[in-house]
Amino acid sequence: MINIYMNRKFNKLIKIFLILIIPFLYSCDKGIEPYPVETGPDITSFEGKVTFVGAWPEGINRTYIVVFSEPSRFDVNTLQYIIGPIPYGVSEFNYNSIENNLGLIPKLAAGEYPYVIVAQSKTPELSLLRQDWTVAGIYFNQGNTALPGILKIEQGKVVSGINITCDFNNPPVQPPSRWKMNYE
Amino acid sequence: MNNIMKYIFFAAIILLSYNFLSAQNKNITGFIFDKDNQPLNGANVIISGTNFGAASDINGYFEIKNIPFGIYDLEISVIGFKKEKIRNIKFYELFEPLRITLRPESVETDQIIVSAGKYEQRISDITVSSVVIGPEIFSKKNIVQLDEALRYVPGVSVALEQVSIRGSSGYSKGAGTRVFVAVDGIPIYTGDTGEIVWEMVPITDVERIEIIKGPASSLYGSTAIGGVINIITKKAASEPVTYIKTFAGVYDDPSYDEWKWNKSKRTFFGVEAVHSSRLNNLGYTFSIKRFDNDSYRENDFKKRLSGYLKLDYDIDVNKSITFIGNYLDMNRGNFIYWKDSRNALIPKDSDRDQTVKSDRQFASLIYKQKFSDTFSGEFKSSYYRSNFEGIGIELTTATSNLFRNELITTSKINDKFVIVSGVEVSYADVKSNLFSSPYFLSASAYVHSEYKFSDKINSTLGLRYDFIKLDTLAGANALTPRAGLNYKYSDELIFRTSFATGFRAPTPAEVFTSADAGSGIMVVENPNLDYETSLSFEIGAIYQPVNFIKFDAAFFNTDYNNFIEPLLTSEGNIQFVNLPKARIQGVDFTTDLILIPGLLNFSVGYNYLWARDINNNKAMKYRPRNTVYSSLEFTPYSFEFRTDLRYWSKVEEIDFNLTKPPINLIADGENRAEVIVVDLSIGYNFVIGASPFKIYLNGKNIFNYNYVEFIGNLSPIRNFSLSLETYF
Repeated sequence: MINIYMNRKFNKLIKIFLILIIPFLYSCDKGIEPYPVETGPDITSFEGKVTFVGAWPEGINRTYIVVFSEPSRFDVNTLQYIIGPIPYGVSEFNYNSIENNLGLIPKLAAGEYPYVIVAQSKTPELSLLRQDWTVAGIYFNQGNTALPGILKIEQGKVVSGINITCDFNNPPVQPPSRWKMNYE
Repeated sequence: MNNIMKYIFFAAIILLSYNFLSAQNKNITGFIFDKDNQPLNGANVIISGTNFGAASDINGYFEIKNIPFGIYDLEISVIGFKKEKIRNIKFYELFEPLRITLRPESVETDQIIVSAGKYEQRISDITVSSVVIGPEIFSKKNIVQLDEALRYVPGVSVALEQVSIRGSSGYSKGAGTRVFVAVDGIPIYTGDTGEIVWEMVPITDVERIEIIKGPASSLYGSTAIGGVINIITKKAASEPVTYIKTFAGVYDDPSYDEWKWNKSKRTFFGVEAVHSSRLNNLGYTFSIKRFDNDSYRENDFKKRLSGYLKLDYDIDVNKSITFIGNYLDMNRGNFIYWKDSRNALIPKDSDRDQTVKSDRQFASLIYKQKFSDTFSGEFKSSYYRSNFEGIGIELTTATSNLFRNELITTSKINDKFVIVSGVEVSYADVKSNLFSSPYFLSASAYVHSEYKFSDKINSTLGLRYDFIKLDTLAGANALTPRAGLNYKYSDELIFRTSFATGFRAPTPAEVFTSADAGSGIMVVENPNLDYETSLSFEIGAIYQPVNFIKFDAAFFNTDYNNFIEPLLTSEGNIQFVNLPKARIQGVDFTTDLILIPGLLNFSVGYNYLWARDINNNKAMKYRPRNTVYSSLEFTPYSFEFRTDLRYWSKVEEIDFNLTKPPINLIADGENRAEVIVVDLSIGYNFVIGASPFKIYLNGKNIFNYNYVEFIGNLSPIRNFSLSLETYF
């Protein structure tokens, strides 16, 4: 008699246990997945013209169009994309961000980028240090030079008219020589 | 795999042949009473780990028949009363009936804890949040390393092997800790990186693990700024006991075909043997462990051999001396980051074939003397040598020696007033091509008092002074006061509140590391690194409306100054820097329920964490905002069923810049998700001959959920293990 009672009790407990655990069984997806292999050309890009005014400074070893993710913050933490090189001494340079990609960063994702500049460097080797670069021109929206223009890139589209003027006689405001992080 | 099966078979044969040697049988008898000396009818008395048992009659009498002579543990349970376990009953010819008294059932609240004040206190009296976990979990979940168990403690999180309490640490690749991890109060962080080598924790000799949540620098110093984990070891057995455990396991296939990199199943196995006994006044315990893990990832294997010896000698009733020695030899693959998310179980090409060999030795001596009923002293001395060498890795060798001495005195002025004070000196030297060869010196003194205003109100007050000198850095001084209050509003409701300051000195690794991190990124030293300080506050309560339900809730806030974090600098280097201000706030909530006494238990813990880098107004890295842990345990007859759930919300902030061009140190490193891990365990207790056996089948991550605790590191995929253990 006791055994029958205990067996019933045991069966009941098993059911309680299963009822409590079943929600777990259906609560999960698979978590992270491998990223898909990209197929087909992605035309997400931007293009425009860089115009140089005045005489080029001497000793320039490289000139690039550089895209940053934060306004007026020129450092490796905010670096998003590099176009170039722009040949020394030219007065105009027409570009497309895919065709003229430097290759250091493979692609530029869709999004908004508040600081697009032309930067020049005199160092023999490519350097990521801020002090090795000079900003020669800044992208402004439709002539509004109060604030750097925001580059808006949409997936699968080509944004045109991202034109930058580099006036060597009237250079733009330079970002801090070393970005002052809060910890510094 | 064949070798593993052969091994298990061989071990089983040895164990079985030993246990069939028993001869004479007789009945174990006794009486069971409640605390008022009334006989208890219907109490179950079972020999631990067996099916042998009986129920008490109306006179409280029970009789377990036909039992071979030997030494047994008895478990006595009846609804409404606390389950009792009586160990080492010597059952021989002249056995007298037992007399057993049971106490009313309740969720444990009055457990003893020593880590809150460096002397024995009841949990219901302390002023800080704490958790105590027993060693049973190691068997039930086939845990071979302590950090695995800590993953299931509310308020504690472990990313890879780095432990954090209430979000005190993110992830810093083994450099530094904000949790004071100790064995019998003696810290086990290394002298160079300041990390915890979890393999050095002697989990086969654990009596209990005490966890203090929140800053405890005023008692434990620099590394306790986030909390304390103190492993209390067992006293040696009074009769010779040998414990043997062996296990073997296998990893399942990964979820995606892209991740399959190996044709055969990856396996792991281990064996450990412990013997403990006593010769007059000398108790001894020694163990040896071997653990081989092929790992589910390429070049992530781990092979380790460790030995442990503990001697405790009672000089007389007032004096004792304890020695603990530990040795670890380990060889492991150097899997640092995945190649990319499509090759998540394969290391980066640059890390292939790299291995790390290491050996570690730890020795400690504890001398205790009771001078009078009110005054006692304790002297603790330890030495920890750590050595590792990277094979195929440039600049990765380090040898450190850490010496530490501490003198503690405890004065019980009267029944209401206790003062604990101490002085500590430690010194570490490092020889390395990774952190140069710095030395580290610290000296400190502290005093901590507890005063009971009444039966309802208990207060604590503490102050510690530390002087720290790290090689060429200027010496640092820190004063860390602390105060707390415990108020028993009623028998059911206990409030606690505390205020604490903390400080943490940078480790040699954080200051002096200079190495190539790959992808053109250098880890550079920062000789200007300052020590960090904290100011914290918590208020909490324990509410136990009935005996079988307990709630514990706490709100906490910690403000940090000069918080040390690794950061990608504007020059493109990784460097440990001081964040001027950081704040971590949160709520802890845990509940334990005895749904059916002796049969069904449930516990759940929730932790909400708001960790902010105040100056940059960003979440702090690698800290999940929501975490949930729960377990359900069902123990009918000789079976044990257990399931555990672990949930982390998706980590908001990571080192994004390391995961994309132009750095791209960890390709696809931003690929992360919330963590939902479910484990299952099924156990069965039985007896062969006169020896109890336990067998467990464990399924970990049974839904094969894919997640990372740290970027570019896929956590263990589904795996199963079978473990067998016995003692005789």
